Amino acid sequence: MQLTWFTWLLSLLPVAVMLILMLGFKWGGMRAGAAAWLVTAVIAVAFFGASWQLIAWSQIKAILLALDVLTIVTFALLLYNMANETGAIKRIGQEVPRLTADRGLQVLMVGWLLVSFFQGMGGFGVPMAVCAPILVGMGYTPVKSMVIAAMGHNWSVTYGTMAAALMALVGVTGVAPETLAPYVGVLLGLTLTPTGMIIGVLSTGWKGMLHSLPAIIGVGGAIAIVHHLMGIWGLWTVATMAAVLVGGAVLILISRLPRYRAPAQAANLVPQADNSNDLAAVKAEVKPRNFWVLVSPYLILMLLGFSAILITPLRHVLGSIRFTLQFPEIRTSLGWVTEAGPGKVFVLLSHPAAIGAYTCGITYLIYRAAGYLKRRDMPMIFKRTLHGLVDTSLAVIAMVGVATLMEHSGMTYLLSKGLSENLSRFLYPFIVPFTGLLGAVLTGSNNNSNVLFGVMHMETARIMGLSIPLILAAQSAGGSLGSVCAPAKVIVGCTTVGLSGQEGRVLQKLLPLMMIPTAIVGLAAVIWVYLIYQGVLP
Amino acid sequence: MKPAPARFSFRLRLLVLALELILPFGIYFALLAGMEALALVFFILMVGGIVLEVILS
Repeated sequence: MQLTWFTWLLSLLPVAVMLILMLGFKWGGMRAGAAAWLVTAVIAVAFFGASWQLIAWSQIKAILLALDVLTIVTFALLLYNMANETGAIKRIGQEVPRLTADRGLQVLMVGWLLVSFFQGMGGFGVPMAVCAPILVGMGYTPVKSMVIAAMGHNWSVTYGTMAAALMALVGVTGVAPETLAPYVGVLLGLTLTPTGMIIGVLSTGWKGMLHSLPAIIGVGGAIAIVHHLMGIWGLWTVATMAAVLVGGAVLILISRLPRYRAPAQAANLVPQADNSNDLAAVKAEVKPRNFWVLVSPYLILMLLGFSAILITPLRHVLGSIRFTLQFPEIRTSLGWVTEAGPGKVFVLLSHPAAIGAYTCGITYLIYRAAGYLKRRDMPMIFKRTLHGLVDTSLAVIAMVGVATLMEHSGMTYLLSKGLSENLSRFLYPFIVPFTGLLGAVLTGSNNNSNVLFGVMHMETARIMGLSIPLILAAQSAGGSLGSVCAPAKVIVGCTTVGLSGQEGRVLQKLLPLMMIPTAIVGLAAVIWVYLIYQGVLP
Repeated sequence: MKPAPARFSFRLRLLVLALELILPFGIYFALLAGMEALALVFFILMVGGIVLEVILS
């Protein structure tokens, strides 16, 4: 397929249709994703030589990729609903802000650190699903709460979810993670303080942000350093969580400074949009419940997550059962070839969904033993989980379907080739994080964005004589930033703050703000390339 | 005033979701077995589900 302005614009059309329908027409992710899928299929057949078999093979691969995400979301939502039923989420919303009396620091604690911690554990929209309602409980509007929660964990995705995105990049490019890590750490580290400042402005205004600035710089710096060091030391899978824990400790220390010792401002617990746990909350008020028992699901999740990674014999046992489907070579009539090979490989027993399932089981036993949950509560919890999942699942399937179909028909390649061929050596590194962001917004994950664009960026960097790990790191950093804007994830968060079907309102505010850290990554990459070119850096 | 009933009910969405999860596997095994006509039927049903999502949401 030849690259012309016409074919490039055609390749852009599926992405444009999805974004216009969601942002301009306020369509939900399910409907916009389905419409974009149909548009992509028509373009693929009419202009890119795709057959119905190609579309079918592509959709089968998409289902495997979507299942990878949806199984995790299923157990994350189930865990969330179990915790919510006992009043745990409301209690976290009360307790975490009380770690500091300062309003600005409270928001940083929830909307920057707690949300990133959950990304370290699971991701897939769950950090927003958990933290946005807490911010609503602190008195912020649902839209603002979603924007803060999304912005807050933009830096944590590449190493979050057990470094799945980094490993995806390593898998498709063959570049060693040890080579990528130093670049990833620096580029994402540079976004931390600006992100904290944006959260400060959103939550407490410019004056409030300036009041919180020393804390933002201190916490942002601490997180960036630990995140970078953990990457260099090869501890990618726990880098996000470790960095957040250190950042939390620094924030608590800073909150003891006279500057932040304001009179205690208890969280303004306005009723949450999702008021399904009202009964549980009332019960909780009648009989105080143990905080540590309430939050035990997340402690267990952490324990199991660490164990599955760090205990080598356990990791080998859990990693022993794998499942995948084999696919034949797929070719368009215009000659674009997708090589034969396996689809998404599921490591069944150590998959994050499996860890989530174990956690749900243990949580049920603990809550039952403590008398916080009754057997008759479970049908309602399952029903609520199912209701939350259906629209999300349809949206994710459609969006991943668009991405795989674009990839299999050669649209993704043309889209990126067009960008890279028309940009200079010093402009290209600036654009790379934006393509990472675009890929993540489209596919719903940093992981998929890296899979889509990783090889293309590697080849382009090689042709242009640029540092391959730097360009790949910029791609992944952009993917991390874009991942939190992905409609597929925003939808999950929106379901918990009463914004179902109104994801467009959140995206309208979130996407322009996300351009700031993305531009910072791009500028840093340009400067880095320039310094390498000048011989200042190796 | 009672809200108007959703055009795309929860049960219908659940059915579409089930079809979109199951049909691709049907297509996979039908294509592997060389049963292209059956695979095409599954494929049309799958696309029909996606069209339903757009027009009934």
